[in-house]
Amino acid sequence: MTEQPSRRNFLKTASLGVAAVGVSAGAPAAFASSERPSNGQEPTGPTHDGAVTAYIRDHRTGEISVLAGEHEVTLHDRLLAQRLARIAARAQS
Amino acid sequence: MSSHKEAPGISFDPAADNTDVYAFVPANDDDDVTLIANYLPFETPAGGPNFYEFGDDVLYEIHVDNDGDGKPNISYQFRFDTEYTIPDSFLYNVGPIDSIDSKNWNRRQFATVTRVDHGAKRRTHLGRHLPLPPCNVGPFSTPDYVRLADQGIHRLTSDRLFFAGQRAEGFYVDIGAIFDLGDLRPFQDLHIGSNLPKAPGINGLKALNVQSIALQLPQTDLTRDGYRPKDPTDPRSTIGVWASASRQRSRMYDRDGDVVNTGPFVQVSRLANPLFNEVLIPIARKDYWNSQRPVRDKQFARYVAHPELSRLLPILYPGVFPHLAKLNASGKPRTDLLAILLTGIPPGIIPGFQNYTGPVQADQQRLNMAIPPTRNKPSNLGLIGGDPAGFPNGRRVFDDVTTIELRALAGVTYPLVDPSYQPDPAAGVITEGLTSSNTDVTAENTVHYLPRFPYLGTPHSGFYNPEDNEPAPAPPR
Repeated sequence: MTEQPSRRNFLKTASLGVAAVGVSAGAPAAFASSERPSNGQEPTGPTHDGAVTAYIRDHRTGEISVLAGEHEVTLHDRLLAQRLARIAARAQS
Repeated sequence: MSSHKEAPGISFDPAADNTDVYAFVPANDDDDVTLIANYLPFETPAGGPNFYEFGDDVLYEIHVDNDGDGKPNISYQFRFDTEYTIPDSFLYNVGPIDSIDSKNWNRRQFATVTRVDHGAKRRTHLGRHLPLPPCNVGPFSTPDYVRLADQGIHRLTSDRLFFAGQRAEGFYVDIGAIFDLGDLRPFQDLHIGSNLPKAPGINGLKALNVQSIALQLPQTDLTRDGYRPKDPTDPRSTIGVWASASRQRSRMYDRDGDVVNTGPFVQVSRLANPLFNEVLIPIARKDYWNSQRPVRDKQFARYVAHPELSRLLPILYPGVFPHLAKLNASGKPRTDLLAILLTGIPPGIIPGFQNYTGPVQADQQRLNMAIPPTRNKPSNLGLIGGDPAGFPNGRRVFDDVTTIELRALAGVTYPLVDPSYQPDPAAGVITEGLTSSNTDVTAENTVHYLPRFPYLGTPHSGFYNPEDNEPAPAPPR
C-alpha cells in the first residue's frame, strides 16, 4: 500500500540529507515523529519510491535541495531547514 | 599530461578524468570527421583482476559548438552498464575470450549512445546495449585481441561508427622531465638546475593504456544547417569540440557496500585543447575550471594572456630566451595564445587558413573541416610545422602537442600578431626529444596508431608488461 504524502514522510525521506550535514542515519526518523511541524508548504502528489537525498548547504537560507533519480527540486523552507540543522547538531554532540 | 590527473580533485577520480580529445578529418574520407575522447589515465596493462572500464555512474559527453556562441549545439552522450556472466567467480574471465559475447567473460560492459540536438531539444538514441571489447588481458585470456576489438566497432547507422574500450595510450610526453621543473632532456645542459649532458627524451606514457570513446560521423551531422564544408573561409566550416565527464550531485555509501547516486549530473572534468588546464590554470583553480562551461572561459583568459610557463622559461634556461623575457617584461598580453586557444585564428593571419569562431572566448578544439587531411608527409607539429590539417586545427592522434605548445609559449607564434617580434632561436627548436623530425609519426607509442577507425592502437597486453610491450600487436591490414 502506498504511503500517503505527509510532513512525516518527507522528514523520513529527508534523512539521507541529514546524513549529508553530518547526522548518523538512525536518528532522524525517530526525531521526525516528535519534532514540531514547520509551516512550510506541504508537498502533495505521489511519493518517490527510490532513494532521496536532501542537501542543506546553509540552513539560514532555508534552501533545501531534494535529489531523486537524476533530478533536483529546490524548496525554500526555513523552519524545516532549521529543524534538520538542529538534528544535525545533536548528532555531532 | 595532456590532461592526465591535471587537477587535484579529478586526480582521485580516474573514471571521470578526461585525458585527451582529438578531432580531425580522417585521411580516408574527406566527408567525415573523427571525434575521440579518452579517460582513465595511466592504465597499467596488468591491472587486474578488476581491469579498467568506464564508470557506470559517469555521464560522458562529446560536445560540438557550430555557431561560435561557446555553447554546445550538438552533444553525444555515452552511458555504460556493467553486467556479470558468472557472479560467483572472482575472475574477470574463466577461459579464453574468443568473441565479444564469450560466455567465459565474466564482467562485461555495454554502452548507450545518445545524440542531443540542443536547439531542437531533441534526444535521439543512436545505439543501446552495445557491447564493449574486454581489456587486453594476455594471450591466454584474449588470444586474438585485434579481432575482439574490431567486434567492438559498432555501425550506429549506415555511415556512423562508434567504439568504446581500451586502447594504447596515444599521447606521448616526457612527463618526468616536464614536471622536474621543465628540465627538457635535449636541453638539460642549459637548464639552471642541471649539469647533465643533452639526452633523448623518455616517453613517460610508454606501454600504458587508456579508455577511449570514438565516433566517426558525416561532417554534416555537426555543422550548422547541415552545411557540407568545402570552403575553408566559410565560418560554417569550423566547429568547436570538447569533451566532459559528469557525476550526479550526491553519492551515498550504504552500509552494504552499495553506492547510491542521486540528483542531476554535474560536470567534474572537461577538456578541449591539450594542456590548457594542466599548464595554464593555477592549481587552486583547476577543479573549479573543470566545473565550468567553455562559454564562461573569459574568466580564465588572463592565465592565457600572461602564462606562467612563459615567464618561467627565461628563468629556467638563463640567457636562452632573451626576446621572450623582454616580451614578458613588456606586460603585453599574449594575443597569439588567446586566439589559438580561445577564439580560433582569424582569417588574414595565415594565408589560406582560419578557424575563427567569433569573439566568444571558449576553450574548444576548433576544427576547420574544409581543410583536407594531409596524406603526404603530415607534420607532427601541425600548423606551426606548415601542416594546416593538424593542431591547433583540431588535433590528430600523432600531433606532438606538447612540443607545439611549448614552442608557442616560448614565443614562436607571437609574430602572428606582432610581425616585428623576433622569436628566440631556441624557441623554434624546442623538442622533447621523442620524435626524430617533424614528419616522424612513429615516435615512441605512435607506432601503435591504426590507419583506420578507431585510430588509437591496440592496447598493450597485461601479460607482456611492461618491458615486452614494444611494440603492441600489429594493426590489421
